Amino acid sequence: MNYVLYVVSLVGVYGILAVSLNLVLGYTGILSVAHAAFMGIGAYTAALLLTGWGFNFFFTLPVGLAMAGLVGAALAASTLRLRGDYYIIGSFGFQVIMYNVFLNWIDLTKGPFGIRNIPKPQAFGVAFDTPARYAALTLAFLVVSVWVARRVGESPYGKVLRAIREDEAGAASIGKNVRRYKISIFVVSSMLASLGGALYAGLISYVDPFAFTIHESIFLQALVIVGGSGNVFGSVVGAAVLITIPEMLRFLDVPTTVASPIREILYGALMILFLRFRPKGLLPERVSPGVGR
Amino acid sequence: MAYWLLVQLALNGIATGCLYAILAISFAVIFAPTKTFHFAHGSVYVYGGYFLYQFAMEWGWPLPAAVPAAVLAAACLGVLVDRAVYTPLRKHGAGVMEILLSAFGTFIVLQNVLLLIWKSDPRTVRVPEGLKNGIPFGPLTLTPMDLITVVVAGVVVAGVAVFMRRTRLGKAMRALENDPEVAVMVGISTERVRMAAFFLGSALVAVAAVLTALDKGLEPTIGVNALLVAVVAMIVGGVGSFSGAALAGLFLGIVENLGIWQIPSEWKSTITFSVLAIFILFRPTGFFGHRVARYSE
Repeated sequence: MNYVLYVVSLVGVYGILAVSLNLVLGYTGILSVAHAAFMGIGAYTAALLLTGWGFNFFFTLPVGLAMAGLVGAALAASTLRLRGDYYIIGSFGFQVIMYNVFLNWIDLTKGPFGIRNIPKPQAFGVAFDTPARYAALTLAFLVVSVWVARRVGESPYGKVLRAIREDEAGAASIGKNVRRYKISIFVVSSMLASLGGALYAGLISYVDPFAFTIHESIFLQALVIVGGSGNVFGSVVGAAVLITIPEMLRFLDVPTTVASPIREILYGALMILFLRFRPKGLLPERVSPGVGR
Repeated sequence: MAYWLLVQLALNGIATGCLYAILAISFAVIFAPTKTFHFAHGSVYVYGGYFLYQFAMEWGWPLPAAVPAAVLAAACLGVLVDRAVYTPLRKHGAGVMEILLSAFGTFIVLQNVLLLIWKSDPRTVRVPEGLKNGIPFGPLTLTPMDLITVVVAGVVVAGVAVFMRRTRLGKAMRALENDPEVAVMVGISTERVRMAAFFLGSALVAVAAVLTALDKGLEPTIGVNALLVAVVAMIVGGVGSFSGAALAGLFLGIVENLGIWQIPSEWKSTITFSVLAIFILFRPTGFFGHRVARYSE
């Protein structure tokens, strides 16, 4: 039972991360390979403030969100002006650098040893230290994230994002400030990713750099693609499917050195197959009337 | 004293830079004509090295047989990725973004298949005695391996330049790069040129992989940094200019190694990326070639 609840928490965490990536990848058509880095910013901020400064978990969240938002704004402002495919290199490079920072800034992050014994969140005398309580906490945050993403994505603002995805020059020609839209949605997305990272740190109780590699960024892309890009609920479904199916491998008695590559091969292959045979994903984007395509 | 150290670091930088030049050209050979952001190129690079390890160490082939076999195998792998993943998607009407995402998926699959086959331990390929021993030149030292790298890079740069200018296939590649529609109109077979580009680019990246395997050894994770270097060098050099890419690779190698003078070597890829950031801010056309940034809006 505890194991099931652990998986539920994991689905909640990755649901938040997938929703966050969906806002840029699915709605706006911006490909980011740096979302693991933003997740890492949230995770390390929470971990460091909790262990080093004795912060309450819930007070680390605004700090982590602000950090991720600022870094996201800087990254978006400097790289999103690159033309066509080249902006991808901006987020690729940023991802590699952040991984290096987590790994090599040993004074701050303890490098490859990571930060251990991260305490569980507490608020109003309630400690979220049982699997059931933690699952409830992540699911509550997932609901909030989905609500925020829906408010953003299904609003007139979200329609402009889709217009930018479909025809950037067209959106600009009807007077939309494309650059401002792109930067602002990237900031929102970075902040949500940071929230997911903080919850991840609380769930696993330790953080190390190896959780925030480019592989993790691609895993988040797979969640969005398989779930359905441009559909917030799709991202949650994608997380549920891609987290639970590989967890079954645990019951097949395969050693972890084999199980973890198989898990990654599975999601890599699913990503390719979905792009080829069902590009809209499990839950396709629903476009409300009044939005021309 | 410090003066000689700098010269030594610059020399090391030239050797590293020559390796980077090959990486940059190998990526550009594929990217320029096909406009495919072939992220799995980093995996093909790692496979090139592990093929060599498999042939030379596990199967005991002599190096003169194992090296060409590894290069050929990697070239076939590159073509296979295009035929199995990118081309079906493209024919299905997928956009740039979908192809790029599929490249990420391919990267993940290849990387983990490699882990299943060869495990994650570092591997080395045994080389003839003395190839890695430094030869002193006054206060400086160089290894035969450094010299081999420089010579191979020279041959690759010159070979690609001649190939692109003198052969029908090379000209077809440049035509496809400059104007795909007209290229098709004058009867160039897009599919053949694509296959040739993937074959050549993958073979070249395997050459870089072989040099790495012989010199520094292999780890499954080396592909990401190699790809970062290749792409950054291509952009800094100016997309569409092979000699620009090669020069930028050389430049990156030298900057990285001079950086070691003051900055610990773990931050190498941060230096690489900073060079890119500076270039994009101040010289968006790279050394040569087209603009990659725009200032309108």
